[in-house]
Amino acid sequence: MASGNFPEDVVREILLMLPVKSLLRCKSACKSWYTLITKPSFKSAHFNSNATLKRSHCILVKRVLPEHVPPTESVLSFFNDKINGDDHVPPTEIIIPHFNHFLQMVGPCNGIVCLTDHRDIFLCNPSIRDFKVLPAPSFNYPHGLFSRTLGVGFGFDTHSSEYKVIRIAELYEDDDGDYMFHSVNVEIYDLSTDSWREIYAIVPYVWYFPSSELLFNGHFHWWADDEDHGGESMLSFHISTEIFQQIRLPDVCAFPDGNERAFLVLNESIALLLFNPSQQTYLDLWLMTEYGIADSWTKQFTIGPLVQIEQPLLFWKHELLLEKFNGQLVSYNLKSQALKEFQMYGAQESLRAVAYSESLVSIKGGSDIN
Amino acid sequence: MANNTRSLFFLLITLTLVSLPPYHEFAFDFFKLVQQWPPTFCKLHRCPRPIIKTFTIHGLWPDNYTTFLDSCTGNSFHMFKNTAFVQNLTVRWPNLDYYSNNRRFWSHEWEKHGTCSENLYPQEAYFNLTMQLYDRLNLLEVFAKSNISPGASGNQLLSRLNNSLVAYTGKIPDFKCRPGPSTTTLIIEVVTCYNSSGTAIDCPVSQLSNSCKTQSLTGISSFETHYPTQGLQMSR
Repeated sequence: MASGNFPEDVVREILLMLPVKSLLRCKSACKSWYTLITKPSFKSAHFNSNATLKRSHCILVKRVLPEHVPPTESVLSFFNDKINGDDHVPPTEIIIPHFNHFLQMVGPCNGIVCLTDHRDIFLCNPSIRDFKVLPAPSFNYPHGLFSRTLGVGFGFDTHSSEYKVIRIAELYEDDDGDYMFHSVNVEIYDLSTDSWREIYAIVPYVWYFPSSELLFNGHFHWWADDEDHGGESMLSFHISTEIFQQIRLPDVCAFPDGNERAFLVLNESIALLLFNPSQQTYLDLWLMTEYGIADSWTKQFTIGPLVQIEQPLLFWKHELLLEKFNGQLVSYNLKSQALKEFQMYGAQESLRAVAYSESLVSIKGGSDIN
Repeated sequence: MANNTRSLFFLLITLTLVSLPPYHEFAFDFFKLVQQWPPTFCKLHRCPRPIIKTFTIHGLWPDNYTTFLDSCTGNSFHMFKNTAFVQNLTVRWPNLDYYSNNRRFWSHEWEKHGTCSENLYPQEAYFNLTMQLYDRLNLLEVFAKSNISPGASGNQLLSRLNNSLVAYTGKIPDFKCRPGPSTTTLIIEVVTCYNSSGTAIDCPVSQLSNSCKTQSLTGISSFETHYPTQGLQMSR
């Protein structure tokens, strides 16, 4: 290799500009490049570099292929930057075996997504096809108590530089076939130790819906009961300090009010969408203009009517990606108000989408997807 | 010689005892027919789509006035060969959980509950009886007579459902609930009771479930339908 003619810092600058795919090949080119590329400092510099940010920001869509009944695998598809461009160019796809229909996709964080059906939890970096099955928590609950997962979260602790997965679970008694609530438990998985620990926190009952689990601003969020005031709230968990807070939802939220909810991100604020999936779906958009301040929820506008919308998926630049009843991916342009249909389908309710940037970060203890 | 005869005698007794059908130590006093509401069940578990929108059979649980009966000694479950019978069961008693299947579900119900009434109802008769009792009580129709339909909610919902069922059967039923979103209470199961011949009786008051007694201020119970309500015309 001719790298002997270039100072190492020049080589490094050049490599920092390359996409992940090329870097994976460069790793095998020679020993000095291998050493350079596998350094954690290089990986993180690469992820944050301007070249990466400009090029690799794309949409990652998870779905189960509609013809698979019963479903046995999920497909992750990368949409490139310009979704107004060609539909007939097939997006890059990765098939993930063993996963099922109900997989939730949360994150991403430094290129890693967390996939879970609340029974099993997986971490995956689709850029380098790395994935890991988390060990099941193995706590000895008091005799006679069962646990059920209410919510799962995932994020990166910037202080300790480690990845964490959070599991909120209810403990209950099954007393002769009769359910009796006992308590809500919080358990945290540290990737660095590959193990779970319990933390003692008083948290309200958490309830799941697709897109209720949201990573934003160094916090993870779930939909929870507002036990002090009645009504609904977002339960927020600070990944680094592991402190919980509650942020009330606007008073218009009064379950059961016939509406579904979705937590998304728009223009660097948390967005709440209230919508009624039907022949004519309207979506009311609220923004939390100041993070953490319940009084800052402001209604922006109403989208619709749109025909047969199942759920909103993701705000992407000026578009809102949605899933229709028939499992088709569509997008609504917030400026032109035009609805665009993609030739991409999933089994009903199986679609998820996140804004994604590729990375080289490997999951410690993870393995290649074959 | 006398010793050998005695040993032989005891051996014969043992062999006879071992070849007898299993001895049922627990006598059951009555049956509980447990019907479940799939939309609530499927909020707590993963269910394949589409979600069934009628009550389905969870099980027929023989029980005692004094102790709770389950997992009695009895014969293991054997899968039914008659396809028409299986078809009838599948419609009324489907497994709802993505991670299980019909055979596993029926087998679990038989071994946990059916065995406790096996002295009167061997396996096929047990499943037959359950289907008969289920066919006799179409809960959605009963509730519809009182103008209660899926999607209903409110403070009075539970007492309305209870009154509706009592008016129809003349007997005390039981309701089971689970916590729902935003401190609501979701109805998940309805229990009606019968004597060992299948005649309707009151469910014992001392054994009624506490799970529907809401602790929240709002006290809203909900007879939830699955979200989203596909195909429903909802006016704005």
